[in-house]
Amino acid sequence: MVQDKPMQRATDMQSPLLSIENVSFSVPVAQGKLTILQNISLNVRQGEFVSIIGGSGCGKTTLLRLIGGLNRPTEGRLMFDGAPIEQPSRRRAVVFQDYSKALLPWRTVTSNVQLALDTDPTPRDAATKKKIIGRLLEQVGLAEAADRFPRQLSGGMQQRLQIARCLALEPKMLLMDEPFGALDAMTRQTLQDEIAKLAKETGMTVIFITHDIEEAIYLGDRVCAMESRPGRISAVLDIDLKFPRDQLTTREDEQFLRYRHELFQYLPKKH
Amino acid sequence: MLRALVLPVLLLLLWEFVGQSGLIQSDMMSYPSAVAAAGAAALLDGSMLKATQQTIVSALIGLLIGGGIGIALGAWFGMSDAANRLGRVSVETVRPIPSVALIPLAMLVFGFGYGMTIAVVAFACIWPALIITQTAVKQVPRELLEVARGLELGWVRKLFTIVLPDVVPNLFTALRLAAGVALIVAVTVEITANPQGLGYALIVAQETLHPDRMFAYLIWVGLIGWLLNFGLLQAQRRLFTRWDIA
Ligand SMILES: Nc1ncnc2c1ncn2[C@@H]1O[C@H](COP(=O)(O)OP(=O)(O)OP(=O)(O)O)[C@@H](O)[C@H]1O
Ligand SMILES: [Mg+2]
Repeated sequence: MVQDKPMQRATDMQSPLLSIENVSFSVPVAQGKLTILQNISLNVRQGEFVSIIGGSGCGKTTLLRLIGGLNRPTEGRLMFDGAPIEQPSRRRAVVFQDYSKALLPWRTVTSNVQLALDTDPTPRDAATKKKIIGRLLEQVGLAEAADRFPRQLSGGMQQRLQIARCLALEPKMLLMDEPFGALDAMTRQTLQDEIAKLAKETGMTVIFITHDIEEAIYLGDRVCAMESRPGRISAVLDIDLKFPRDQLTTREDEQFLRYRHELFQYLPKKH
Repeated sequence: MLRALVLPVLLLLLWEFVGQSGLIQSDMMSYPSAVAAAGAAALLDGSMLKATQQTIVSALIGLLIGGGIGIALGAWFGMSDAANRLGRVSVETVRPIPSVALIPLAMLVFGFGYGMTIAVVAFACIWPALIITQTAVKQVPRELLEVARGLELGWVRKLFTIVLPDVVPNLFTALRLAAGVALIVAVTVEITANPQGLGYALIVAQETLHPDRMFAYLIWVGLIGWLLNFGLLQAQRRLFTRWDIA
């Protein structure tokens, strides 16, 4: 067993968990076709936190949906863990941007998380499920709200609930589409630190979409910047800032500001 | 509240006066005190309750069968475009047939008795249930369906954990509308063909020149219809308060 370890790591480095190979996505329109994504290539390693930024309408959501398997590319292919992505999978959990629509309003907080466990092919007894749910709600700070219904939660709590439900799947990869975009600045910072901590604890790979440069740098091991019309990756930047990151000191770090400067050039300027 | 009662009471008094005075000569003329007496008599000798039970049992069973078929078909058509294409033409062919036009056929097949009323009621109840269910299923948020895909749910699971719970409030509306239809159709079948239930009691009272009894039954049917709708509306308000995310 001990000898297996270096081997294991070597293969991890050779074959990324996710590889996006020359992917394009277009939709038919009245006059021919509209290319939404063009020639996207990207490799993501196991355990990596990759942020994707880009202006509104540049195709971030479309890219995330392709990774999730909710849409199929028109050209190129996406490989996940050695197999082509053909449909959604419990191993790639999607945190939707609009949390209010992604929760089951007729189920309590506990029961929303339970949904992920009840539909798991591996059977678990009720006590085990209860324990897992308790731990997850503790992790996302919803233990107090276990018996409430989604409409009785604040926006931040609803998004936490969606994250807890995704975590219950024990996914290899978490796909997040502007998950904190609709939240106020305070809640946002808290959730940023929570998701960073969770990702480190679980070793989960995260693809995190945002239109906020600072958020992308603050969370990411790597940041991809996208350009629009057609959507493509214009720059990939390795973020070399030490963990755990801190809302005050990291954001004041000179290196952080340099990254911010550099990425800024790749985004559409507001006039 | 009291003021609202002034007009109805005045009208009743007027009716009583006109009826008793013999100003209008008609075999079908009656007045409130006679109607009340006839109603009380029908209640006491058990005939009214028996007729009520016959009508309500037929309407209810017909409603359950027709509503069930309508909801099942509606859910199927709503979830699958292929099913919708397959079924739409058949539905559009059969649906315009007025349910009461099926009375002769139902009589042939079932003879007199519950079966005939139930069959016609069921046919009439399919359509409101089908249309409301299909529309509601089509409107299940895309996000919820994608959550179902992400959880790798099969269609049975998707139907029972996501789609049906989401449309339950609409199904209840469908049920409420179909219940109204069921009562109307049941009474119609009884009036026109089936010798049982409230409709039959109405027509017998009319044909044997008992206007007081006829009016008593008429008021009774109206009361039942109103109670049915009121009860279902109250139940709906109670049951579905938590269905929306604020
Ligand atoms: N099915 C579709 N048919 C036509 N156009 C589409 C379709 N899906 C997406 N688009 C277009 O593709 C572009 C990219 O959409 P996408 O939602 O991926 O952008 P985004 O980067 O996520 O934007 P935002 O930051 O506003 O969420 C948009 O211009 C959008 O209008
Ligand atoms: Mg988007």
